[in-house]
Amino acid sequence: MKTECKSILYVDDDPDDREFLFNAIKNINPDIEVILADNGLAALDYLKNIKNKKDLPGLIVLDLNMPLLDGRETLKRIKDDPMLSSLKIVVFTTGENPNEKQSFNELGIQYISKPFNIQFLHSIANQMIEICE
Amino acid sequence: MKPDHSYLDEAPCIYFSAKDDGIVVDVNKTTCKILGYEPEELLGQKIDLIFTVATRVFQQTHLFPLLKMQTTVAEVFISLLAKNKEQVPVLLNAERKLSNGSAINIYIGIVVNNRKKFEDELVAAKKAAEAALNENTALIQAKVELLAHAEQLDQQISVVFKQNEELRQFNRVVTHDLQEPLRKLSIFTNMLQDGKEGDKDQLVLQKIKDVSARMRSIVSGLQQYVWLTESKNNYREVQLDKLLLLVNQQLKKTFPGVDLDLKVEGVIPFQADHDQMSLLFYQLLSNSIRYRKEKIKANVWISGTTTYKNKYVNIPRRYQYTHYLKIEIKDNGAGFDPHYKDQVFELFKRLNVNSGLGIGLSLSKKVIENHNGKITIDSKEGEGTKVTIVLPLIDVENKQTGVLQHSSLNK
Repeated sequence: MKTECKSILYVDDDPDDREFLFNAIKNINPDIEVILADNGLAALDYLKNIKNKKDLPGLIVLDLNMPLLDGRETLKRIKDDPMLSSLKIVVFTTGENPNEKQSFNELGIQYISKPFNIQFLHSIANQMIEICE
Repeated sequence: MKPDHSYLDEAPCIYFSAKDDGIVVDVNKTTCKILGYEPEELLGQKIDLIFTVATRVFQQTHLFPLLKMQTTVAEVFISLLAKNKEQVPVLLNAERKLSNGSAINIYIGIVVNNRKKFEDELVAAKKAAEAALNENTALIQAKVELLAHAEQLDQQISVVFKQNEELRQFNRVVTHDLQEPLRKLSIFTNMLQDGKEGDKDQLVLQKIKDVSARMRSIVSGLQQYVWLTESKNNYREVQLDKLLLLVNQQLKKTFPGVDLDLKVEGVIPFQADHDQMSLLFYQLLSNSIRYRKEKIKANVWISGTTTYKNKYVNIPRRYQYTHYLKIEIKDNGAGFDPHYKDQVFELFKRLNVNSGLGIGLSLSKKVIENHNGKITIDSKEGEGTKVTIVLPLIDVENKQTGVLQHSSLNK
C-alpha cells in the first residue's frame, strides 16, 4: 500500500521520546520524512519558513508540556494562522487528563497518551500515519 | 397718665393679688376666664381656692416664705385649679409690696400648657442625641473593625490566589512532571526485559539511573516546597553579609572551582526567618553561577534600599503606606528572554532542557510570600538577570509591619 503521507513534524522537548517515535515511524515506512523540533517556537519557525503549501507536513505531532512555547500555545498559534490552520494535529502527551482530552477532541484533534510500554509505540505510530494520509 | 385698669383686666396673663392672710384682693378678667370663675366668686375668697393641693403646700412652705424674705420670686412653676377642677400649669412671678403698713402680694403668670410638650420634646431630643452619640461610637468601632477586616481580607485574597495557583501547578506536577520519569522507567525496563538492545544495555541502564535521579530530585524538591508552605516564620534579625558568608560556603561545595565575586551594599539588618533567607539566597546565587558567562567566575551585585509602599494589593482604592526593604540581586550572566519572566517562578518549569530542576525560583518565591513580600525577575538575553525582592520591614517587638527600626537605620 502506497502512503500519501510524506512528512510528519514531531514537536517534543524529550530527546528519548523523539528518538522512540522517530524510529517507530521509520520502521513502518522509511520514506516518511520525520522532522523533529524540541519546542513550539522552533516548530513554528520551521512551519513559517515553508513557502509552498504542498511542502507543509501531513501531520503535526505535538507534546503539551515543553519549555519556551508549550503545546497548547503552539496549537493556538497554528490555528490562528490561516496558512497553517487546516494542518492535521495530534496531541501526544504524558498522562491523561479527561477534561483536556475532551476539549481537544471537540476541536477535532486526536489526543494520544504517551505509552508506558515501547511495544505500544508501533500501533501509535501506525495510527499517526493513518491520520497523516 | 395712669393706665386704665381695664388693660390689665384684658392682658393675656394671669394676674391676682392677695394679702398675707391669703384673701384675694384683686384678680383680672383673663385669670377668671381661664379658671372659669366670675371675679366676684374669687374676690374676698381665700387664694387656696385656685391652688391645687400641691400648689398650696408649695405656697406655704416655699413661695410665701421666700416672698416674705426676698419680696420677689421669679419663674416658679405651679398649677392653678380651675372651677371645673382642671389643672392649669402656670409660670409665675410674684412681688410683695408694702403700703400703709400692710402687705400685698402680687402674682403675675403665663399659662404654659405647652411647656410639658416642650419638655417631652427636649427629653426626646436629648435621648436621640445620646443614641446618636452611642451610634457614632459604635460606628467608629465598626470602622476600626472594618479596617482590620479589610486588611485581613486583602491578605486572604492573596492567600486564595496563591493557593489556586499552587493547586494548578501541583496538578501539573502530578499529572505530568512525575508521570514522565515513571513512564520512562517503565519503557526502559521493558527494553531491558525484551533483551533486544544487546550492546545498548549499559546505555539503557544509565538512562534508568538518570531518570530515577531526576524523579528523586523532583520529589525532594516538592518536599522542600511543601515544607516551606507549612513552615512558620521564626523571625530574627538577619544581617545579610553574615548570612551570605554561610551561603557562599555551601555554594563552593555545589560549584567547586567557580569563583563567586559578590558585592553587597546598603542592605540594613532586617527581621526574617534565617533558614528561609539562606535558602533564598542560595537558590538565587546558584542560578547566577549556573548561568554565568565566564567559565570560572560569576559576578553578583546585591544592593538594598528602603521604600514606602501601599500595604493593600488586592482591594482597590485602599491605602496604607508602610516601609519596605527592597533588595536587588543583579548578575552579568547569560540572562533569558524577558518574555518568560513570569513562567520561571512555576514549579519545575524550565526554559530549556539544560536548565536546572526548575524548583529554585519556585522555592525563592515561596520564601518571599511567607514573608508577605514580592519577588520579580527581569532579564536580558546575554546581559544578565536582576531579581528584585521587596520585604515589609517588621518591628517584632511591636508586632507591626512597616516600622523602621531606628537602631538598625543608625548602624
